[in-house]
Amino acid sequence: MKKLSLIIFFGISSLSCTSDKGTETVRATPSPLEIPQLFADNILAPIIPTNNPQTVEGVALGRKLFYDPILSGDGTQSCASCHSPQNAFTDSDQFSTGIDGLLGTRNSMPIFNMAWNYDENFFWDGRAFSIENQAMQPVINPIEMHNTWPNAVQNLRASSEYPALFKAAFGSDQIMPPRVIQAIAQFERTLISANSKFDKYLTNQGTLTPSELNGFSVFMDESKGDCFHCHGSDRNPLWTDNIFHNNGLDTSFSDLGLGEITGDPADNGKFKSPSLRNLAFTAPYMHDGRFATLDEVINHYSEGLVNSPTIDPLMKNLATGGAQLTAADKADLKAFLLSLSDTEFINNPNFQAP
Amino acid sequence: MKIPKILTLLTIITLFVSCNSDDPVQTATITMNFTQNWDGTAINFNTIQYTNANGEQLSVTRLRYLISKMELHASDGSTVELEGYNLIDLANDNTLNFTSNTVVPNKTYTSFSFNFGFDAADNAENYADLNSASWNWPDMLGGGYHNMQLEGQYINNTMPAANTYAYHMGKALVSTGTYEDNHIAINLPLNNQTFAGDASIELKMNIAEWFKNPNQWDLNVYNNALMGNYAAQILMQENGASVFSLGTINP
Repeated sequence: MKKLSLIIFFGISSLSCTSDKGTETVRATPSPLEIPQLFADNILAPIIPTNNPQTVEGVALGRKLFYDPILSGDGTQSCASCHSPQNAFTDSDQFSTGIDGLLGTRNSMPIFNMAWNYDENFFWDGRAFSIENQAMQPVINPIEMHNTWPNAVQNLRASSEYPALFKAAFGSDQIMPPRVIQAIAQFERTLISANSKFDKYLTNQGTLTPSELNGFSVFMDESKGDCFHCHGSDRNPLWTDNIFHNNGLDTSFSDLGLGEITGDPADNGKFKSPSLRNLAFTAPYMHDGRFATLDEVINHYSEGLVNSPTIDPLMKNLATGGAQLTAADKADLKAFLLSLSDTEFINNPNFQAP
Repeated sequence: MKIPKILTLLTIITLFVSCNSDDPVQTATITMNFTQNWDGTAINFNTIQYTNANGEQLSVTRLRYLISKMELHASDGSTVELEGYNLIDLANDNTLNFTSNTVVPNKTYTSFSFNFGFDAADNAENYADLNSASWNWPDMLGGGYHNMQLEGQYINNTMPAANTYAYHMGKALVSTGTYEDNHIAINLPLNNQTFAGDASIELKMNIAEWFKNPNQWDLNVYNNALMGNYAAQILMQENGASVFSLGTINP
């Protein structure tokens, strides 16, 4: 009996003591996400991992790491090199250039409202589960930052600043890869975009032009744009379903997308629906950046769809290439789409290089 | 040895806890199991493999539907509603079962009823989980939520390549500004069913019925952009009446 009680006692005490180990631990300051009212009113709460709560010190450290080229193999590139705030945290290239001058094969994705990706499948092909696991990959990708994690943490440990910052954020100056990506993920979760012209219209703080309003109707009309099935709506202001679709770009696939990850041929040619927020800053478009302008994107859905075995059934009128929108509806749809761009987001001082 | 004492104590505690369900006043929670078939064959995704009543061969690539207001009706005339609603998504196994928090009294039940989709009152509410699942029905068609999204590809003997269909059901637009609530109220008989403890009920959907009874569905006419098509919405409403049946009941 005694033995068992002792075990139970130690079990309980070691559980509760973990965070107090090292005696002088100072807890980081909790900093819960400020959830926009529009989101709170309409969609589910964001996903915050229980083992990586948002803290003032964690976010500050993540922000510094995000902008610091120290994480790359030769100290020349940071996350922000391909994920710049002025581009809603993507870049303006079709394919981004890594530290060795090599080009990627997919368009850099923008970063905002990531904590509301409920399925937590990140990248165009969904290969990373959770923001933390996503952040792990570019650092060691040979065509991106081309570093190794042992080298990255060695450089951080050798720095005059980082050990103290990790200690403040996580209670220990032991710098390990999981702590690095947890800090970056905390910063990325703060990148919330909810102040576009359309957001202000929805929250009765602004109005839209007749063209933008008609564009929204085209967006919501199944017999016209039919965009809302995959790209959200006034009730789902993420403007994406974060699900994977074949949107009729090609008859056969050099890049299998989701199919490469799942191994299921029924997933070939499927890529994640990107959010339509901030399109004014995120050109070029599509997973391979093939369209330089929004007009090309709209023309694709209107006349350019091609059939393939995994085509999404929401792609209709395939024989004629799509929705056949009038020139006026196309112009209005574009005006509406641009009203989803959030200048306050890209200029938010809390999101810039520290 | 002292440890067995503890085991004895634990056993006694466990017995106390588990004995509650043997009380004379029995109650139960019900788990609904939602299954789907094509004329009795379990449904498989993606490959064109089913032939509908009109002769088109088709695949199912996506199926989501909403079940609400699930009620058990007892022989004494009373009704118990299983609190909640469930959006079934065949791509997500977690949605294929639904356990209500409602405790069901120990009575003899003679029927189970539910709404396919929301009734008008429920459809006027705002649901964060359904918005997050992009389940909304456009305001220009009356707003609220879809009843169903059934999607896939189809071919017939004269077609050069597969075409797509999106069999989406919700409110029916009569004319601009005028809509008909288009949920389906379904009532299925139970054979003097009692529930001794926590129980499960299987609710089966025969997808083939959407295409045949009483209206033989022609995918060459009705394939896409059906949401604002009043005639198509009413055909769906009529065909939906024979789609559901009860399967295995574990009382």
